[in-house]
Amino acid sequence: MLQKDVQINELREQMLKFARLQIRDDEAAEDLVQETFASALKNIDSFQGKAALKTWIFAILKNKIIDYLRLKGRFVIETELSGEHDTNHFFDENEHWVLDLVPGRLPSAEHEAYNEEFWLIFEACLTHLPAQQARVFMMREYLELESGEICAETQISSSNLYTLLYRARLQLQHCLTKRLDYEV
Amino acid sequence: MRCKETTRLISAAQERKLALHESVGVKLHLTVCPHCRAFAHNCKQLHSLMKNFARYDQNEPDKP
Repeated sequence: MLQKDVQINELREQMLKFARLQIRDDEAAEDLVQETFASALKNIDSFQGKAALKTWIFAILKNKIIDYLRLKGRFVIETELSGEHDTNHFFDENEHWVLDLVPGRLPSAEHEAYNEEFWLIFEACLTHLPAQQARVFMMREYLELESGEICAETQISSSNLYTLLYRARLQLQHCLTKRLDYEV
Repeated sequence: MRCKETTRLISAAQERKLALHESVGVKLHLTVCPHCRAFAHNCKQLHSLMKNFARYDQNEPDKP
């Protein structure tokens, strides 16, 4: 259990940040976090103490976000790709990698590199992405929504979605491996 | 197939099934290009990593 107010505040801040990333409505994000705490307290008996408290609360929050997005039809996405000025600076004019931008290999999942520091770096890299890229990436990879559903709800075309995810992956890989300082 | 197109398809393969000519092109390119192999490896890695997002908490007393 969390005994300290400090810890609760920290957790609350992380949850808010996360909720705001997914739904661009600060008030609604507050509400969802509030509801998450309420629902966690109500269901505290089902908390086994085996899962970390944070994991458990984030799982509740994640479901609340998905419900919110589905119910209210509020996957609002402004299209940043309308100009379609394709400047993919990861590749040169011959469509080969720009050597400085080649990603290093991320270690396998159980590797010790994936500690708290890694997730801080991940958050920093995610924050550096254009907002729209970050949101569809999290919808797809964290909320695990099907791309068909994301397209329907956000009203972007599937080719736009693929482009956004592609850009997000290029950028994230570059940012992560650069900051983690892996050998290429 | 060049690196730009190959990586675009590797990313797309996370969302849709590639057409036969696409996946053959990607496979051929990957046999000769370590940079694109790293990109492909990382796409899979990121996908499985995201399941652990927000789960790590050093200060959590319940963590074994």
